[in-house]
Amino acid sequence: MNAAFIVMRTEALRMARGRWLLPLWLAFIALCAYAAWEGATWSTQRGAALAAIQDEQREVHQMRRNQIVNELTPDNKSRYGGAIYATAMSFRATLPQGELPVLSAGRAEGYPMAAKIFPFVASNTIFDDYMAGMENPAVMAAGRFDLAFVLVWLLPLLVLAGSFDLWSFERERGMEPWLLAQPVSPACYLLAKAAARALLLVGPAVLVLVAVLCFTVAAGPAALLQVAVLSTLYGLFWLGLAAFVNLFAQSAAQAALGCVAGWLALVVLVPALALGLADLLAPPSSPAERTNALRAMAMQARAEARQQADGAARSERVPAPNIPDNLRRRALEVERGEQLIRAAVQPYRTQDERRLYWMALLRASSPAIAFQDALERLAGADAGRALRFQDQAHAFLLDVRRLTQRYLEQDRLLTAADYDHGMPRFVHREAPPAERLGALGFDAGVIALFLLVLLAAGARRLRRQTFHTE
Amino acid sequence: MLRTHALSKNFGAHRALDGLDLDIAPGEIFCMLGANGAGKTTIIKLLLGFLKPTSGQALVDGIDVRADPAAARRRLFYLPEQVALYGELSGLENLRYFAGLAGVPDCTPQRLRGWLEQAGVPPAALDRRAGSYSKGMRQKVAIALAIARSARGLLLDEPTSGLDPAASAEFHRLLLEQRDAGAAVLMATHDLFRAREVATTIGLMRDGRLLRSFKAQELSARELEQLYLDEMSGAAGN
Amino acid sequence: MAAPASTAVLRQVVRQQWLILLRERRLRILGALVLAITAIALVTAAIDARRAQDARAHDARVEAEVWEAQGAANPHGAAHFGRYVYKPVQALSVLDPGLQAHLGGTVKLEGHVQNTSRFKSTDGGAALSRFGGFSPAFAMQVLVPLLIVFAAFGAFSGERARKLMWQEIGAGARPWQLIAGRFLAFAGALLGVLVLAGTLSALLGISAWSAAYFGALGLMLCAYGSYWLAVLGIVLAISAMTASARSALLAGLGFWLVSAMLAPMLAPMLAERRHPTPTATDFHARVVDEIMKGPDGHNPRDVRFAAFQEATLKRYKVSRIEDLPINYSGLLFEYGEKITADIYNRHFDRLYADYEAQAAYSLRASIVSPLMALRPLSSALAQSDLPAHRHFLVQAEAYRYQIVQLLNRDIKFNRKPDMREYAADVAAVTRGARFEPGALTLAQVLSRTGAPFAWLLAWLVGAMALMRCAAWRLEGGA
Repeated sequence: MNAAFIVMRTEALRMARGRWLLPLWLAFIALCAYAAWEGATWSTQRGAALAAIQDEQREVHQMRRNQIVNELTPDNKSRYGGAIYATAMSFRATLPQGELPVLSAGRAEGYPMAAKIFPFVASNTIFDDYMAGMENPAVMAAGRFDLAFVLVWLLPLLVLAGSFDLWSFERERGMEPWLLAQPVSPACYLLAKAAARALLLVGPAVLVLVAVLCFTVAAGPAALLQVAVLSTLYGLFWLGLAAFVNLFAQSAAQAALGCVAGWLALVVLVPALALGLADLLAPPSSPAERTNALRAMAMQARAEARQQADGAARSERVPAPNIPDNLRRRALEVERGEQLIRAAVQPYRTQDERRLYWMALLRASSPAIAFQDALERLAGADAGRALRFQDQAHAFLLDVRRLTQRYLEQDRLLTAADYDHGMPRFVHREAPPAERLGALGFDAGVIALFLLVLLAAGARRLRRQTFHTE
Repeated sequence: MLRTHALSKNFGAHRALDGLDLDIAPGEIFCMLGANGAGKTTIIKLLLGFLKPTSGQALVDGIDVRADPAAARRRLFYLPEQVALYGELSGLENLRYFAGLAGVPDCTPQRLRGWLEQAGVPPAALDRRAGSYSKGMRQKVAIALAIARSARGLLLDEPTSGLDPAASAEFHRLLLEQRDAGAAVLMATHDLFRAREVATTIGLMRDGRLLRSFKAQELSARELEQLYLDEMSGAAGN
Repeated sequence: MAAPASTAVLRQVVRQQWLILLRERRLRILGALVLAITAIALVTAAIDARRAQDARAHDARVEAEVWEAQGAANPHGAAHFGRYVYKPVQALSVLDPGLQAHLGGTVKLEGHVQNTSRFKSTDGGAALSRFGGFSPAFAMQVLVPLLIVFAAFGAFSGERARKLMWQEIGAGARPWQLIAGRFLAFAGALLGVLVLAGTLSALLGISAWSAAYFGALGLMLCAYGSYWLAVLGIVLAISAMTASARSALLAGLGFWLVSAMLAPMLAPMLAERRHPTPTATDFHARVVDEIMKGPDGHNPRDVRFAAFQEATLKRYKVSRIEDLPINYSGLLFEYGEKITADIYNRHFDRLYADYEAQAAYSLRASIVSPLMALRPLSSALAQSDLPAHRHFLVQAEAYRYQIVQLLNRDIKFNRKPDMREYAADVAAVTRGARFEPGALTLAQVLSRTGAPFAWLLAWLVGAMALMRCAAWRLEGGA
């Protein structure tokens, strides 16, 4: 029988008999279950909030349709401008939840989930109503106890707790020389023992995760497979770290210290340093400064509009158009205002894009960051998706303005039929699958690269030095 | 079977082994005597390939250990001073594991039990977890592995250290059985009297050098003791 | 030979342990690491705070210029255009930024609406943001205890340490003296780190020096000291009770994981479940509902406004609005603003009361984690917690109400009936109102620190008791 198989089998037997494995599994199951429940609750609340926003739009449209049908007369038209003038159309754009929302709240709470779209509202204010939350900042500061937290932060501790003494156990007990005196290479021992740990630690953890996801959310097999593959890769990385530490540690206590130091470095310190580096290289734009710039721009636009209004002779048309001319003038002001807003906002957009670029790049500095990014993408709660929604909401606003302009040119009023069939609807378009898979592939690649580096360094250590040290 | 040619090993400036020439034939027991730090364990590590020699050569059954340590280890059985077993496994399971690693064929439960009983492990202890074994019992499991492997060369490092007299006598009985089966044995030990009883040849080491070697029966126990003390104090050459 | 006096033995043990601490490379490295990490975190936090303060001062200047640039404008339109105010950076928030990243430092003041603060630094971001930055508080609350576990787990556990311990006991020392001696030695090292951190904090906050500043800083350092000593006591007790170094390390790490990572995350979430607060959408919906329908839901706005109109006509003894000596829409704006402000204040009071209830519930988690007592204590003294933020918001609201009512009164008194459009120099109208927010006084902060301090002291006493138990166990074994 192959030596590797013998080592693996014996290691699995030892693990099964150890009193620590079952409590570790149970602890992980409990944490996963609780995190999934929290995630499901958050997702339900979010879903309800999104539904309420959509209901708001429906109610407004219904109310206006009813006003047209039941209350509007040729004499009281001016009182129902909200219902009949295209310039008062009211829409809501919402960002639907991703396929696995219970996995991670991610960036969902840092970006607006909806937009209020009116033709004449300034484009920089369409998200304002959905930016400020009422969640207790203490809860936000503590961080969401979601599955992503359990996987990114706690799964490594589970794997390390179960494998920190991969070889230091034997070394501490003086079994090392006796084992190495057998015709089995040190690499064979380490890999076979690691394989056993992978089977009994990483494997069940991934199975528990997939089971919990299946139970809490109706996800497709592709998404579940992606979660499983990434989680396995991440778990194997930490197993690799434990094996690497064991190449150096002389005792189990030393190995435990080394493993915890590795966790601290990769999950806490390196990300903190990466964030500091991002702040240094690409600091965030100041929203307060941007707001002041936009307000100053609004003053400028108002002054221009007043000048034009004072200069232009305003004669009332006869007969009066269906839609008052002041709304046409307002449309011109809005268009001019939009140009000024775009010019004012551009430098801040550029600064923020640069920052996001660096943050995306720096996710390669630690497998923990890459894995967090992957989970947020799988949950549909990543920054990219949120920004894509914002771009699409802006585009929808411009579509609505173009439609309004046509109505103004045609002097056409809205009718009940428009409310029944003809209102534009915002539909969020997801990123192309290739783009999404590419990003996930990058994240997986980062984790795999770190694992390969560990394997290479470990192989070098084994080659350079006789394992049973001089 | 076990040979060294001018084998030397330095650790930095410290010369741990100085030009050792050794030739242990099958059926011979060579007992290496010397104080702590004399270099006895260094020889064993060099023969196992755990250390790379600074100069010279170590050969196991004609195989250069440096060139092919795995092949050399296939022919060797090593018994460390402290035999450690996996406490969660029984004696039987530990033997099955180590025998499997050594490539011993047909490790059926019956054969495993046979080897363990042959090594003196009481039947009642076979299925008990090794965590409860005494040092002597653990050593017997190790001897069972030697029996199972039928190794051509045995390297024993202070095998009777910490054993009670009965266990020590038991061990030496088993050792002689292995010698009679044709194994070449190198045993590092402090136990002068046992060495004289079991050894074919005795070597005295000090400061990494083999001072002298002689047939065990050439000297009485008392003479051996006096010679040892003289050599260790450096008075024998005067 | 007479047995040496107990204090002499203790001094001997402390001295011995100090030598080990100084000579053992691993401990020297750990100590240097702690100091370096804390110092770097403090300096970067101080630089960031300075930058933030300068940015806010600049933003306030620019905002004032924009407000002035309005010139002649419709006062009601100006009320909707609104103003922005910026929260000052508190000096000790350098040491503990608390909840600041999640609170936002800017508030929009506008008519009819009471806004929450905006522009949180946690807005936007990417996956990297999940890991958070590195504050001095994080280093002192989470990393230092971990380093205490690393340094002290092997004080009595492990084969070598145990053998040495039995030798010491055999030489005449008592287990309690050994434990206490090691405790005092480690405590000395920790307090040295604390003094250095405190000194550096004070130097970085030199512009804020005052009696209140030093009072708060001193109390913060006492709190951190108690926390570290409690963790140290527990780790030493575990070490003394556990022969195996591996078991002692794992038990220590388990304690750290639960107290520094899990409890601080779970407790606020459980508190939120126990005392749920409304979402932003629900909150605003409730406020709007009350505005439209009245507090009891049966007093619609138009009915209230009709009653107000009648009362006004009666008061001015006229029969038509056109005959009023003042502008009625201005009066209505004034009245409406008061109603709305009262409604908002009531809802916000309820919201913040729920937040307080959540905080009190979270504090109960101090039973499993001393960090759950230290965290609110530290952020309260640094004035980076929710009550300090509320204090700022209350002052901002008072200022908002003042300027909006000034604008409404301007319409009331100055817009004549024959004016189709009305514009006023809104900057001049509101110049009398000034926004000069003050921080909470130390006395106001101290009222919230009693319970957390009590918990910390309980942990410290508990840790001492655990050490004593461990010593008794060893006495029994000796």
